[in-house]
Amino acid sequence: MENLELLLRGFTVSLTPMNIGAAFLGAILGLIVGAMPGIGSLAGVALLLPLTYKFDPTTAIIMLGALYYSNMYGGSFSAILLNIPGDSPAVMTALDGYPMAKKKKRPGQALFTANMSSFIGGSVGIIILTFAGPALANLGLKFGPSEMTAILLIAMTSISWLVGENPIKGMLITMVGILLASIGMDTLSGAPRYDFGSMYLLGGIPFTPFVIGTVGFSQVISLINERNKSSENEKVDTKLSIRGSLLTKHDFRRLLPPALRSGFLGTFVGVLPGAGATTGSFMGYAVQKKFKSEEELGTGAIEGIAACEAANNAAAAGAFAPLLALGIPGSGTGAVLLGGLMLWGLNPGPLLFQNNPDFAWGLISSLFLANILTLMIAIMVIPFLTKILSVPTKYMIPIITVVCVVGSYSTNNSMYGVLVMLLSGILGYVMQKNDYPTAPMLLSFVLAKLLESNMRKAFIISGGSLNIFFTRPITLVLMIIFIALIVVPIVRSLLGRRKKEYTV
Amino acid sequence: MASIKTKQIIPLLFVGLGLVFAVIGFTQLGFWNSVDGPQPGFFPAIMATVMVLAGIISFFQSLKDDKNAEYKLPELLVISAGLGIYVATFIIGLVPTIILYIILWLKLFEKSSWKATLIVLAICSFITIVVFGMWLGIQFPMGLLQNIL
Repeated sequence: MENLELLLRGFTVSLTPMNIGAAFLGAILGLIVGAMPGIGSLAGVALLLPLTYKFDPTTAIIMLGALYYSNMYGGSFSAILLNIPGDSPAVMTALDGYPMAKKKKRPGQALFTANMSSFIGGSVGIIILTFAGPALANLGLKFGPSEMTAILLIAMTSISWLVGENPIKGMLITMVGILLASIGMDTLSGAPRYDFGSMYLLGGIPFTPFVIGTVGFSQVISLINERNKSSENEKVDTKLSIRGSLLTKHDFRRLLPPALRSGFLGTFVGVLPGAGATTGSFMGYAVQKKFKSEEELGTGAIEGIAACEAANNAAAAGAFAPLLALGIPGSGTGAVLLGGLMLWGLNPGPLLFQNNPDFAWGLISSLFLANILTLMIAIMVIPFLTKILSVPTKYMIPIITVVCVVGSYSTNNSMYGVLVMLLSGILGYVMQKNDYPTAPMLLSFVLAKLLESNMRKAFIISGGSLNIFFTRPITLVLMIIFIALIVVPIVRSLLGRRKKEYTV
Repeated sequence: MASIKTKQIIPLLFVGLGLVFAVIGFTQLGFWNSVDGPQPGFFPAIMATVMVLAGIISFFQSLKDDKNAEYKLPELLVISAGLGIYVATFIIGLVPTIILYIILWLKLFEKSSWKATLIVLAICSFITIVVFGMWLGIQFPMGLLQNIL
């Protein structure tokens, strides 16, 4: 009951004209960014981060939260109409969405199914977040430096293990993020380190230009190869109307069970560090395969669209629980949101719900608002989707480049920001080319200082003994999970290799 | 375009970077003090050591990888354009550089029509001048042009 009262208090924050406007703007931008193939929520949030400097922290995070959330809706549009997923969570939506749109000639209903399922899944996720977030924060209050060190190690390890195919590459890129974050001032003593005599490096690597470059500018470099595909986009000639897209009662009955089921599953997946919306979507679809569907999955089944769309929106909502309650992001986009919160002087973590209840509950209540707003906008844009999706990529390239340059300059009114953006963009591009995932680098860049200060405090308390990580019950459990995360994939890989040799 | 074996070069670069950070961390910044405990070099030196080890493993893994990363000319053009914007800003300022970049990029490289070029130019000018300049109050650099004016 207390949570509901706090949630109502949160609505008094989120329902101000300014915050409604911010959520509305975030929802529209998120839909557009999500619908544009190849941009994705990570780049969208990174590119828009400088625009939020004008707002107070609550309004800023409401806008970015709405953007991240509505991005999950937008990703399905191009997946259904063009068979080109707007971002990675929409990959599974294309499997049934595109056949339903093309073979069954029901593109409007496919879009409506995706929108409704996203809404249902998202609602389940936000309701769970309302109750689980504060509970997680209460648990977090029991955490000392050793527990925080262990949980941060788990967060960093799991994302490098889960993202990409090669855990060693994941670990390597995680270390790059940590070392780049250690440039500048020492977290505890304030002593300069790794500045190599440069005045700029003494201030450290600025977060916003680094993120804009790594995900935004590197994306532009990759998009250049997609620019000729715009001619395919122009082939979308189906005229859509809202009335012609409405679902029948029977359609809705088919949609509801998988959407609710995936809502619960997706939220759980979203809470796990490193899993995120993409894993949620894949798992939602995989679980739906175990259940009965009226039509076979992959042939344009409503159940297929509902399962993955509900799961990815629920995961996006679920990811806010560890972000707000423990200060640990579950994905690259979460890392950017966390970085933004830190820039605005907020410290997400167990004390956030106590010290800044207006902010924490304002954000949670704004997700309810964003969910409703996005559903309404997503339905209203259906008639205009063909035009939105026909914007050729070749025109997006100079626009995104300009946003990257101006956005990184505006961080501290210095061309140093632009230089950092360009260099990190080249780094991100080279990493992508060589199959290194960049999300672990962003996550470790954001979390490195927190990990370092907690690890050093733990060692100061223990007088340098490692026992502190194995004698306290919560730390012990977390360290066992951490060690298992390192050992299990290695053992599995060795066993797999041995099996292969044996069969050969 | 010929492919470069960056899959082998990158782990070695990471090993080199890790060694630099580890050596500075252990020798210059200080690792451990019996009174104060961990020093500024403690954490980065440990992480750099892990990076060196992971880099060595990754290098040996990359030797088994037959596929090489392929770099295409248009991708390098985007990077050159970015660096060009950076350099030109010091000469003619940021806003004129952006205008010049859009016109050159769309007309010379993409062979777009004037109509499309002007629409993109209008969108970018709105973002730069109205959103960042007027709304966020960002003062853009004017380069050497400022001295002349």
